[in-house]
Amino acid sequence: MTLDELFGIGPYSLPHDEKQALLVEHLNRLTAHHADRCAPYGRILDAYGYRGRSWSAIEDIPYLPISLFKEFALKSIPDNAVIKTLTSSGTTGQKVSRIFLDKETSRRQTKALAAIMQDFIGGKRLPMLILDTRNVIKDRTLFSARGAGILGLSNFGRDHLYVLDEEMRLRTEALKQFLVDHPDEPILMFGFTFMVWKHVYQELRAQDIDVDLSRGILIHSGGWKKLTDEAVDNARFKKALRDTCGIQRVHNFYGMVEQIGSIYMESDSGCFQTPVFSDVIIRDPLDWSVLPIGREGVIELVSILPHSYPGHALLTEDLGRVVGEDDSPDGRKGKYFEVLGRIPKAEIRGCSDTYAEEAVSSAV
Amino acid sequence: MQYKIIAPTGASSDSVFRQKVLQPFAEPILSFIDALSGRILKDPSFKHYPEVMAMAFWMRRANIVKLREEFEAKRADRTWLGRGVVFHIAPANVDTIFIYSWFLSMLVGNINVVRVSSQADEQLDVLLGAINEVVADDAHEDIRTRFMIVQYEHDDEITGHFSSKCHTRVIWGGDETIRRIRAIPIRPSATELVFADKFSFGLIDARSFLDHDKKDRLLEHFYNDAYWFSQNACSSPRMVVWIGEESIVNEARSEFWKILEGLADTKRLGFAPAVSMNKLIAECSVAIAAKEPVVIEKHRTSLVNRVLLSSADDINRELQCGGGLFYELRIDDLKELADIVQEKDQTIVSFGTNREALAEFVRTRCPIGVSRIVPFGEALTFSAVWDGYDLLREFCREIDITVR
Repeated sequence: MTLDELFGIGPYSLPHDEKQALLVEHLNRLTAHHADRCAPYGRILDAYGYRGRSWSAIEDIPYLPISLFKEFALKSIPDNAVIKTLTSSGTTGQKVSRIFLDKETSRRQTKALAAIMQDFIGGKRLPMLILDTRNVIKDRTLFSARGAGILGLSNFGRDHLYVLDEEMRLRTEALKQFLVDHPDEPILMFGFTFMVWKHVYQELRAQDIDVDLSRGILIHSGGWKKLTDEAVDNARFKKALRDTCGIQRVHNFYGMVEQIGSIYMESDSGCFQTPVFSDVIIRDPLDWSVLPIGREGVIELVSILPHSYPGHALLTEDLGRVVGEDDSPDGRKGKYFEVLGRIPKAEIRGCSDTYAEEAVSSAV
Repeated sequence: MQYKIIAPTGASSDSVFRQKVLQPFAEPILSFIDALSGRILKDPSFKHYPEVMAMAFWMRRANIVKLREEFEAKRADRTWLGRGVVFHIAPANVDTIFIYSWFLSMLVGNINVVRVSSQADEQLDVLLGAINEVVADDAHEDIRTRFMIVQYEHDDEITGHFSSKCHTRVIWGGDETIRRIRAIPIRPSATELVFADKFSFGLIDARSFLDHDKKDRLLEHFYNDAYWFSQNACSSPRMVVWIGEESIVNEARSEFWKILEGLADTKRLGFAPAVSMNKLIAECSVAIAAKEPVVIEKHRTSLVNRVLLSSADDINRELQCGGGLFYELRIDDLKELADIVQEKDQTIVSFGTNREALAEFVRTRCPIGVSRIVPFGEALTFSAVWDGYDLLREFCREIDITVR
């Protein structure tokens, strides 16, 4: 099946065997494609002795540690074909990933995301609340992960309202007017988990604002790391939003700037559901072997979308486990998994730098 | 200025600077070191700290007397005295280095101020407990009044204060630290010893290795050299240079790494998922940056990673991820090592080449780097000669007496 044919079938329609056969064919092709066009990637394959080979299982496809995109500009297209450069979010001073997109990759990402979104919210564009500030999308030449996420998701809504102003304050009046203007339909809401909690939920509470968002479908992403101090997890998050403003449908999703488009939406399994374009593999850091369902390890993500950069098989720095496959209660096929946080930082001993080390530990 | 005097208990910062140096190897110094050694060796709570035990062993009177004899032999009839106040800046991840640095300086009679970082460290706490306990005895008053261990967050003002009072400053802890501290002046007549970032490697004669009948024992030594500090010490080997023709080297390599992988899998020192990940990133980075072809060897586990280089130019000495990532390089003859050695190189852990050949190599090829060549198992053994400094000598000044 070609990629374009794949966009036409349901994104959760393929059971294990069919999906694996399809993915391995595409991933083999992508491996050869990038080996020929991205010299650093080719050198890695050469060093491992993998050049020119093909594999029979997706687990065998060579993968790159995701950090390499922070250290090197990895792209499989000429400079003049780059239409967008995405960067990962990172705290000040940290290196960020740079992901180079061409027209084709961008198109694939849009198509894949559309298929996934349609499966969850239907084909109609809904009035949309963006739970963030317009500021994050101002510089269109260099997209942050946050900006790219917002722009990507914006396509599925209309009459967009950014509910935070430039100082991150809640635009309460504008929000109330928006609800008056769109009285009957479902409302699409999108934001980053931390922003939603901190600047929307907590503000609604603090200012005792009464809004009815029971027609809302909230889609959010970004992880729980910044919220662990407040002991906020998925269950508490959902309950808090339901209790405060009546939101019934909340879908978390997992994805990364290195593989935009083929995102992992939270299905009724309560876990992240892999679509037909991508898959998850859990590896044991002791020898990088594949771990069975239920075992915790390092998350590898494969995606058949990346055409302009060698990001089709990436070993992330997140820990997680596959919870099940092909048997989500909502009937969606594919593996579903949970994310259990980042790989803990290693403690360094030895004659390392007096000050450099202290700077690191005080930053953490 | 906010700094904490953590030893000796109740010390005041001013009195230490008013003391006179003792004579080199004076009896009060020897008896203090001996008492501390005894205190540590007898205490079962130190059993968990092999580095401290090794250090206590080094401090035994027999070994110190040996140091004195070597010192006296070198000195002959010349006159050496301690320089005065020595200010030691210890590495952040406090290991035992600061004790060696302090004790060698103390042995020749100096007054010592030691700065340790503010990171909580259990090993440091028990060690300081023992030091404070031993030094509280009035028998050690001459020592108690001549040292001070201080703890503070990095602070140029405090470092400047001690730097202005010392006659010798010792900086452990890498290039960045040295750059930063060097910007803080010392007295015009003061001297300075610095211990910059280093790179160390193994050197193995392939034929000798294959002929060796105690390979397991040998590899155990190499494993400790590389993995004890999770390969992060300056003297931890991070590369193996093989001497021999290709087929013999390949045979030796396959035996060598098979045994090492077995050991690594049994012991798993320093294993952490983040380290496995860093090694993966590092080996890919080497492959990307290499000018000549490289081979990333398949490894059974992520405890031993290897990258075979075909050119010494592709050694990235800055790439330090620890945990057991080794470059490999083959040469036909020891002479070719001259093209590999760089200024940054410190320790060669050698097997199968004799002392004469190594000494001859160094004397005739005059490499810019390398300051130690030691047998397997001794990479991490501290020595009074370190990074090219004869420390006891460096901590002394010479009084030239020509009156007949």
